[in-house]
Amino acid sequence: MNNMSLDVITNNGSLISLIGFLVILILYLWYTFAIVYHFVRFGVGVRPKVLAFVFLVGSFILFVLMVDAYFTVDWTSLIETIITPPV
Amino acid sequence: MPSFSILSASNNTFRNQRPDEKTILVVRKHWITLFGPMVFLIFFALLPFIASYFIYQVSWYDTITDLYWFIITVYFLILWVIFFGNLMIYSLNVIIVTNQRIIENHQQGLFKHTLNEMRLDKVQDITVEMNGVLANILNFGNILIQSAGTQNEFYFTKIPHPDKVKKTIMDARNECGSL
Repeated sequence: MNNMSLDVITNNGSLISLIGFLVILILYLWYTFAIVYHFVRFGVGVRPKVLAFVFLVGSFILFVLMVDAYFTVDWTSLIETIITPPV
Repeated sequence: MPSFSILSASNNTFRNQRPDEKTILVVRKHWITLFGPMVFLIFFALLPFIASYFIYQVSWYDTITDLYWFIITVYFLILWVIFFGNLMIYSLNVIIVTNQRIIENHQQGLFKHTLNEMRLDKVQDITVEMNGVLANILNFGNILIQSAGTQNEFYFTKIPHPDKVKKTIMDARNECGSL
């Protein structure tokens, strides 16, 4: 049963990593929206709007870098390496 | 460019502002309140670079290079959100003095804030406190505003140029009272 579980995990490495990535993405989008919304809707004066703009630009750049780094990783072989005990 | 004027010009309008109400002064806490959190964030931002110096030297680094950089990007994205979350709370903690009232928005978290207001004509006494060497050098202090109404007093801490703020409020109060 344990070997079957490990096989399931190994064969679905990409799916597991995608689910983890989507969780990070949803949390990131939620907090980004909340912060920008608060800056623009409730901020008084110019400064909050400037901060919202800087935050959005920086978030976009970091997000693109994160997506690029995600697709560079070979998740299937990585999970296989972690799960398979060394000989 | 009209679409970018929001980033350069503002009448300092705010939510629930009355039609005949004009904003006289907008005050946020002194930047020293951000100093502690920023030091922590800078330390955590430098951690990956310190860690990478040691990680580069291990033999199995080549097998996890891509994963390491993915973790670093997620780490910096989280730090970026935390950094601007702190800035959001700082910039939304604001005291607005209008020609009719004093409004304090106290942002305590992402979805938690309190809003207090005091009618300008009810302001009776304003006291400024500046305690400590740092407060005197950087010119920040606490302001106590006492009123005659049910809202007995406002106590604002770490306000920059408290003497000027006090004078502005007193001038606005006198002008309000003379109308």
